[in-house]
Amino acid sequence: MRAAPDADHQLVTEALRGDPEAFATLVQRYDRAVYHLAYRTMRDEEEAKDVAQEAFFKAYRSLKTFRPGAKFSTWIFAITYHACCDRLNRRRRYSGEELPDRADSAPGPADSAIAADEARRLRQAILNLPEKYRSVVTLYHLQGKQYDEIATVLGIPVGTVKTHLFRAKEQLRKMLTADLSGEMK
Amino acid sequence: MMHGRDDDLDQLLFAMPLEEPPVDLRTSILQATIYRPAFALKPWELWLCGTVAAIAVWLAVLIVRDGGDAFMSTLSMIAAATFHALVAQNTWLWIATGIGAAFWLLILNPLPMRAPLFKRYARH
Repeated sequence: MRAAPDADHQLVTEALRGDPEAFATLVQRYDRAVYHLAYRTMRDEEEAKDVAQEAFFKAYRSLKTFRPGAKFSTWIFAITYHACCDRLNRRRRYSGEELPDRADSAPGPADSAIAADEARRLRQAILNLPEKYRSVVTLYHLQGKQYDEIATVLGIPVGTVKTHLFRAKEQLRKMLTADLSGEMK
Repeated sequence: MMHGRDDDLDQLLFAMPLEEPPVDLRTSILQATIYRPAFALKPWELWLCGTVAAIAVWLAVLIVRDGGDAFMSTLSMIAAATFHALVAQNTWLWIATGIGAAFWLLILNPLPMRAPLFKRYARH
C-alpha cells in the first residue's frame, strides 16, 4: 500500500515516456487503497468501483501535470476524494436530503475470530461516522500519521485534520465501547 | 482489546485490512486507461479534416446552387482579398512584429519548457 515515493516517481516518468506497463504497476500498487478510500467515502460498492476507475482514468489523462516533488499516493487519493465529493454532491442535490447511514454488512478477512470481530466493529463504526471524520480516519489509515499529506488530499488545513481526527477517534471509541457493553448485557 | 487509549485504537486501525475490491476492478481500470483503443486521429488532424470538409461542402453548395457563377465570384473575391492583404505594408509590419515578439518571448521566457506530451498507446 505504501510504496516508495522514488519508485513511484520512476514509474510516472516511464509512463510519461510511453511505457504502459509502468502505469499498470501504479494501478497494481494503488487500486486497492483507492477503492478502499472510495468505498469508505461513498459507502456503496458499485459507486466505489466507478470512482476508482474514474480516478485512475483522470490520473492517466493528466499524468503530465503530476508535480515531480509530490507523492503519487497523495495525488491519486486527492483525485479519488474529489471524485467522491462530486458524486456525493450530485447525490445530495437529487435526493434533497441528508443521506441515511448504512451499516457495513460484509465482515473483512482477518487471521483470528477475535481480530475479525474487532475489525468488523471498527469498519461499522467508521462507516457510521460523519463524512468529514470518515475521510480523515480512512486517509489516516491509508497514509499513516502524515497529517500534511492528509490535509493536501482533503484540501483543508493541517490543524483541521488533527481536530477532525481527534473527534473521529473520540466518536469511534464511544461507539466501540457502547457496542462492547451492549453485547455484554 | 481496550479502546480507551489512543495507541490501542491506532493499532486496531492500522491492523484493519483494506476493503476487498471487486475482482474485475483492476481489469476495468486498465481497459479504461492503457488498453483503451487509441483514437485514430490527433485533435489537430480532426480539426483539419473538419475544416476541409466544411470548405468542400460550402464550395459544393455554391457550385450546385448557381451553376458555378457564385463559386467563381467567391473564389475571385477571396483571391483579391488575399492579394490585397499581402501587398499591404501593414500586413508585413504586423507579421514582423509577431515574429519578433515570439522570438523575444522564447529568449526571455523564465518558465521551463513543458514536459514531453503523453504518448498515445495503441492496443497491443
